[in-house]
Amino acid sequence: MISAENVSVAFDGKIVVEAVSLELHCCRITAIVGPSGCGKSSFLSALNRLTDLMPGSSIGGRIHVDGVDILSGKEPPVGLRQRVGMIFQRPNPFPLSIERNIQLALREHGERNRAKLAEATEKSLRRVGLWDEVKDRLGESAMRLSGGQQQRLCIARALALEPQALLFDEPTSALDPLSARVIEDLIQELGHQLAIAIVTHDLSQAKRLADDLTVICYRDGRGVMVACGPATDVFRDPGDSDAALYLGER
Amino acid sequence: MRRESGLKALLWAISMGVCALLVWIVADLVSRGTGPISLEFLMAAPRDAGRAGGIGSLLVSTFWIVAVATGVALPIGFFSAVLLAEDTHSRMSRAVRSCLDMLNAVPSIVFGLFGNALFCVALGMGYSILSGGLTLSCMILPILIRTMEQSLRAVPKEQRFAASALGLSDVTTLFRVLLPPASSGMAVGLILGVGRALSETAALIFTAGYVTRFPDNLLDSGRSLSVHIFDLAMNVPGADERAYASALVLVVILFVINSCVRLAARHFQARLAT
Amino acid sequence: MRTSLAIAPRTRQDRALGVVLRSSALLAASLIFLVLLFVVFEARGALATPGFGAFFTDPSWHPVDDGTGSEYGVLPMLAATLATTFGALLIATPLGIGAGVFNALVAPAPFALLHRSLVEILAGIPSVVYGLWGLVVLVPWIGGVSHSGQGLLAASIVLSLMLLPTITLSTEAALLAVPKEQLQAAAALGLGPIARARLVAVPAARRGIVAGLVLATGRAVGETMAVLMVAGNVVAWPRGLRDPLRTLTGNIALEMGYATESHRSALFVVGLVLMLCVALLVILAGLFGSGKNHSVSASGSAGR
Repeated sequence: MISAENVSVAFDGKIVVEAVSLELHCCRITAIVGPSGCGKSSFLSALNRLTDLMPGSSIGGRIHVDGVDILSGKEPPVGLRQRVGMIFQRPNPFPLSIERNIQLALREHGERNRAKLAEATEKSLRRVGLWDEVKDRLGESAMRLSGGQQQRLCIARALALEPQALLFDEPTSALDPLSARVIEDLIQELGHQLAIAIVTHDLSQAKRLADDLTVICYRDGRGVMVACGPATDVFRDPGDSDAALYLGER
Repeated sequence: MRRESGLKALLWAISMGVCALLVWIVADLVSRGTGPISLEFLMAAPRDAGRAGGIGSLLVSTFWIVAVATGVALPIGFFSAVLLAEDTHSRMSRAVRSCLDMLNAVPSIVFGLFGNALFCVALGMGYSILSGGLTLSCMILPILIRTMEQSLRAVPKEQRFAASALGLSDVTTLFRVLLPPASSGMAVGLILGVGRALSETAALIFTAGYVTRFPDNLLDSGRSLSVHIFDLAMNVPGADERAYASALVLVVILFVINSCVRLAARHFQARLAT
Repeated sequence: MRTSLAIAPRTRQDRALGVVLRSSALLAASLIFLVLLFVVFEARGALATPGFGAFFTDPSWHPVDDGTGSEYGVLPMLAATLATTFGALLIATPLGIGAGVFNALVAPAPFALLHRSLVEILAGIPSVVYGLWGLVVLVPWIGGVSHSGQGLLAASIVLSLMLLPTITLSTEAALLAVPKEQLQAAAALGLGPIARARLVAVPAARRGIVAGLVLATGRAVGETMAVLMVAGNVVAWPRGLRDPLRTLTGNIALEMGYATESHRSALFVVGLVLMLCVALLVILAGLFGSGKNHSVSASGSAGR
């Protein structure tokens, strides 16, 4: 579904991460792990061109989504981002009502029918297990939800667009352990439905979730991919001394 | 320890002094200014150079001057602020920002000279409410833009990322995502602009003029309340009481505007939060 | 941060938005040049004869030729502007910084709130009202029986009232921007609120406080009404505290109403001089602002 070949990301000409190649497929979870500062989040942002928002950024290599080269500039990023959603480290609901949060993007992309909007709202809230908790207060501000609920709302917001892939950037690191667990279970569940990439610094989380594993390590002042493959294989035999050292730490 | 408490006492004394000063000025304003105030004073035009009559016509002129100033400055200011807030580091934004910094530093009397030369003489508007309002709109633009830019920038970066990750267009992102949380800050910018326009005297003397009768249209000369206070105090012997009354009205108007918009902003935020 | 707004136009609406944003900003930015252009243009007569130099070499200001020739000296008025500005800063700086520190770090919360709203009210009072108060209350009090009371002292006091809120609010804002962690660290070392302010917060906020002072100086130089109403307005070098003087701004306000031709042109030159003063201040402020790692070194010295 998404394939990245030899991708590098640079800021103001300085490469922060390079030589990353991986493939995301439907119904598989790919975990991207590595020490902090190795550029794994930057790489993730490149996959739906959110790097466009970061000043001075440039992407090298090739990224194909559904066989279309997204770096060629032919496809506008708007459509791409509808198909490839993203969830961030800190929950970032808009300061609007719960309902509005989910419907905003749908309306933007042309859905005006109230019944359909309500239906989509319920469906995506159910998918993240939030419906029963909030169905009686859809008009309340999303900011009143707890951190874990906010993060689930953000996931629901992305799901409402029916994306084919979701990118998670350390989605549980700003949450308490209990909420983190709920999110993790949710990701596992979603892993049966669409293609998922998750950046995490929590190796046990990667172990629990990942079907595929990519390890990025810090070398010569920049992040480099050092291992990639089915998670069980990589954990058993990383095939690289840095990767082995990093994975062996726990 | 003794030094600590000594300094603490000094700070208390300073701030109490500042408070006392304010109370003194306001009390003085109220005690001297309430005398002449009546409904007639608020409705009628001044007579006998301001020694008699009221300030009704001046209120009308002031309203129109401020309306022209904010009406012109608000849209330009809003869109400029959006550009500066969203496009922080481009060369254009930096250039615009330094131009505005310089504009902000220009003394108001120089705006008066400029407005007189451009609007009154070159564009042939003469001493008029329109000239005065346009002059003030140039003057309040920097502060309007700065506060609006700040309130837009206060919206967390994550919200922009979220909007973009959902594929929202710029127009939607601006009006649906960024504007609601920034609106109270924008309102504050607007009050500051209105406040400045209402308080301004120097820039108006040679642009809006001195005429005290009710204006018929925007090309009539109209004396603003602040110019009236100045004129009564400096040029009309025996009108101190009326000057004080006019000053009291001006301060009350400023105070009410401030409080109203602040309340409105708070209400707006409260509505967002529930 | 650069976002997609106005950068990569996509829909027609977005493209239109980008055009509107850019043209508004260009218009706003061009105003400063328009102001300069018109002031210089109107001043061109006086800049040709008697020339810019005459404004600094003529001993006094008699722009209307009454048979003995015109004089265009602005130096006494420039000195008056600087004297009132300096006097006002002398009064307002310690009070303003003191009140700002008090508000941000020392005052109990409810009192700080009250104090802040009072200062904001003070900031919202128009300069002409301060001038009126100065003229009616302050001037007779300073003058006593022998003097008019209008002059340097009255002007400095009235002006300082106007600067006070600016300095207080900017000091407070700068102090509140100091990272809480630094203050907590200082508290953990057993420093009291005053020591925290003196040793940690004020050094770390130095730049913001200085910026507020520069801002206040600019306002003082450019202020017209408050000073005009209490300074006495006689063109003279500042000598005593109670001797009347006339500032650059006051001069324009007083004479613009009846000035024609060369006189009018000379007043635009005075405006130009005023702008030069302010430009100098802006450049100075820029120098203060350009010390790149200043805030880091400030917090570094605070940690010592």
